[in-house]
Amino acid sequence: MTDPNTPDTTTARTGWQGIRPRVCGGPLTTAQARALHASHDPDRGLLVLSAPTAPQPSTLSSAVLNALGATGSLRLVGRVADTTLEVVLPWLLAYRVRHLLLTRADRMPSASLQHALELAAAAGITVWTTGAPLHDLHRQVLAGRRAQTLTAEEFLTAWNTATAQAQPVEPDETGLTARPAAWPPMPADDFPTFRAAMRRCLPADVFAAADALFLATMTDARARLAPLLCGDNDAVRAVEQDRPGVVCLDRTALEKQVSRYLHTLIGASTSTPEVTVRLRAAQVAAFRLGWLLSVNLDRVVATADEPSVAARRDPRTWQALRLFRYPYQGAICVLAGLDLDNNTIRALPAGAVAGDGSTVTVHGHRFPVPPPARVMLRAQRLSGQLAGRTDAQPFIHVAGAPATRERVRTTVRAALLDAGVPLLSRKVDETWAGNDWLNRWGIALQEVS
Amino acid sequence: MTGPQLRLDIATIRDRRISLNLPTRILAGELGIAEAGYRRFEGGDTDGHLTITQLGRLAATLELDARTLLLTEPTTGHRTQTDLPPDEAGAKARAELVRLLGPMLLIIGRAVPVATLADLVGADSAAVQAALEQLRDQLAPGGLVVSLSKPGATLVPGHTKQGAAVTRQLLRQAERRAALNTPSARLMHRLSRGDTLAQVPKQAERQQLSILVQAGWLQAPPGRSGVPNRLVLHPDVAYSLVLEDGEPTEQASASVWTEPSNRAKFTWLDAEPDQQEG
Repeated sequence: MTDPNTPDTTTARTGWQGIRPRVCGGPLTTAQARALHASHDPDRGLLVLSAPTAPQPSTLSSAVLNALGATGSLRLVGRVADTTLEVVLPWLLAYRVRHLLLTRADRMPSASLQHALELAAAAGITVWTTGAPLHDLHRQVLAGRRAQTLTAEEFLTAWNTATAQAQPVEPDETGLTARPAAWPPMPADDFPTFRAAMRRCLPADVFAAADALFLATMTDARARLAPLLCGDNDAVRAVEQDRPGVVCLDRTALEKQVSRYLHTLIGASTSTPEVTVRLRAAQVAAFRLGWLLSVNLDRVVATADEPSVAARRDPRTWQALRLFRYPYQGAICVLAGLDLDNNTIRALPAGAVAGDGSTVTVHGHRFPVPPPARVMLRAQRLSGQLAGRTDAQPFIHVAGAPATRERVRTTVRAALLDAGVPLLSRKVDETWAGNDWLNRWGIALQEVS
Repeated sequence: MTGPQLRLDIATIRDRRISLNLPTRILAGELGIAEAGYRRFEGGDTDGHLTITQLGRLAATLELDARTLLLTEPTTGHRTQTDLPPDEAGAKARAELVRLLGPMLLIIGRAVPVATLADLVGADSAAVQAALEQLRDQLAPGGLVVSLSKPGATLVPGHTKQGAAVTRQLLRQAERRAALNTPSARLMHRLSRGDTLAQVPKQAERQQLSILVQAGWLQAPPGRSGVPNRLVLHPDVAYSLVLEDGEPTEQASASVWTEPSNRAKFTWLDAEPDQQEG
């Protein structure tokens, strides 16, 4: 007998025709409707969403992906072609969704209801609908699937029974609830007004935490940068000195040493807002020492030797990466988070990834994957299987074609920009030009006094 | 009622100006309007419209919190269909809806059908529609509009002259504040060390001062806006640079040296002095 908790692509191809949709035949109160929405939990295989009101399949796809948390990056908002049903199916299978509740289905076009039922049949999902009275066309569509009409009380009882039986797909090893909330976006001000802007924009408790981090980092940065900027460190002293009597520092060596320190700050940060607070504090410390430290945040992150260690250890990182709609995007970010380089990510065969996404084997070494990240690897693996790819073919593919070096780089960069996750490093971002500060380390130093 | 509206407390402004012994010329200069216009403003012969920047400057000049210059009063509008229900419970529910919908529209960032919003927040469409109308009234002074066009409700920048001006001003200041250039940093560092500027700064210095003032990094004491050597660091800058503890910034004790570019083309630079002479 097939284990219902591990749907595979065979199920997806043949469909689970035996599952009957359940229709709520009576009206629900506002409190009951709110309780239904509250039971939405993708990690337990329960999806609750407002029925889409447009007949296009892309509208349904978009609604389902949004319900799964795959809201799409900022640059993809509004692109209808990016939300096809082919993208949705691997996600539904990877999340192991068992129940899909469409509220206010009476507003739903019958074509959209038909698409929802077909999608659910392919993924082995039970469809539940609320909203009455239904249109005749709705009834015809539902009759074709042998839908079961229940009274409001029966419907709620059945739904509560189903939700009570739902179990988390992944073991709760993350300790998400015990961790503090993620940092909110930080102000865009440069360092001269950054702290004041934080005080103005952030809630009092968040500001208190951010300010404590700011002041602690500033103290640490002053201790670390003072020997470098005052020329006490021989590694940064210039061999040739244009001005006698003045300590001259080699700009290239100085930038390298300072950027190394900034990379340690990035390595200790779990998210982009935290990186911003630390870097602004370092800039203030440098300014108080008489130096203007200009920082190109995106570039300085990209020139780190490895992705942020703190971000890789934080389960919220993997939760944040679930916003990507294409499975390959999340999978690339997970592999980058495992500290794989650009070439390895592109050449990795599909068979190197465990079926449940728990491990990735590279050159004989098995890397464990954090539980919240496994769903992204599963989705990509299922996507390949649905497209008929073999285990020997590359795991990362974009619509069947191998991913390019640029595609891998831009995807991990998108994680930095859209999800605020600093997984970018020189292993993935292999762009290096030693000509100007913008493309070298991403920092510039100039004495200002 | 369409919700509380804000208006300027002209009486407080006038009383405060008189108590500080500030001439109308100074305040008119701060607001960037003619003195006669300012007198009409104080006389109440005005629509009472100030940009956020003007309000901030006015409050700073009068050494008051900007909020004390505003009066909250209920007003009656023509949209009587959106009136708050007379009972407190209804008003509370409306306020809760507004609190939910504002962030939701900002986060979603695209048009959402009203019925979908109603479904999400567990309210009926009419209540959501009324809450959106209230949200529109609250956000309009900031140059933001809650659009209620056919696709649904969304939050977009306003196209009115007043709203656009406010938004432009904020964007301009935000753009300047996002990056500090080296000449401006030098000036700011001098001021942070306690140095004073020349009575008549050079033209290049004046340009940098202008940038620093426009970005809100420097400010002039009330009544001294025309004197460059009276400019001081804005309190926000002093706070951000942690200068409030009394410890001034330090002067750099080293300088950077960069290898000259294209040195290979200028071989005489590496030649010995006697060879150069020969």
